Amino acid sequence: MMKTGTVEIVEPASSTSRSTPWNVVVHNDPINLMSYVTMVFRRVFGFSNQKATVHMMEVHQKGRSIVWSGGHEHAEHYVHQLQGFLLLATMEKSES
Amino acid sequence: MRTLTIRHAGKAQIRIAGIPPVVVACLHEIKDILSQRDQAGPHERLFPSPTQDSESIRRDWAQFVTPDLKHLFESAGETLAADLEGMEPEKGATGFCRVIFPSSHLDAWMSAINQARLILGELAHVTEADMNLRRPEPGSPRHAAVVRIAALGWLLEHLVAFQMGKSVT
Repeated sequence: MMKTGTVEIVEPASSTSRSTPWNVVVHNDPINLMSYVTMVFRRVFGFSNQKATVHMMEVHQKGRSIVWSGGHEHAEHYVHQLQGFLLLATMEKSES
Repeated sequence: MRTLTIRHAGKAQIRIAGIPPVVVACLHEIKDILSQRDQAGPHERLFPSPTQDSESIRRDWAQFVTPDLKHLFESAGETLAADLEGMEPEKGATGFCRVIFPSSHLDAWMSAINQARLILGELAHVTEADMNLRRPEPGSPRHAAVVRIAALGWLLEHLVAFQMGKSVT
């Protein structure tokens, strides 16, 4: 039961709501070396060589790969790191 | 003919020896290539928008992240340029060179070399098909860019292998 004089405000969810999951996506480009992309995935995400290679091949063959999903602050952090390694990385709201 | 080798040397240093003349020439071009970083195509490639899904993220990115990336990329270029001052000819192998630099500079080397490759690619509008070229056409600026991208890529492959703990001899 609410106290007299207390007002409860419910804010609408924004597009950057912490509860909305985001995907970190790496896109293909014609210049980056496959070995370099694999190395970056291992260093940024701690992937095994096998997992990093799977994602690299997905980028190469399908044009893009979702390499991580989670909160938007972490997604921004990973995109920042990946772009620092010169990968074409973006973040998008997860549909799942 | 010398074989490219990359080894640890002395106290926290890396020694690259047997750098072939074509790669030496490309390395010397990197400073000029990186100076074109802010042209439209290269700028868009090196500093891509992080998302189409949020104007506020894009706004904050432009204000806080892009300057940080710019500083990172410029520092890498400066580090490589300074280390290349110490590159010297190999004895008994015309045109081949060697260089020693601090191990802590390895990431900067990979960054600067890769920046140059990407900038060359954007300036010449290089495509995936171009990168699979077997016979460059004489007089084609795009194919000339591909040759330089490939030469620098050859060195970068070796640096990546070394970084991942593989023997480079």
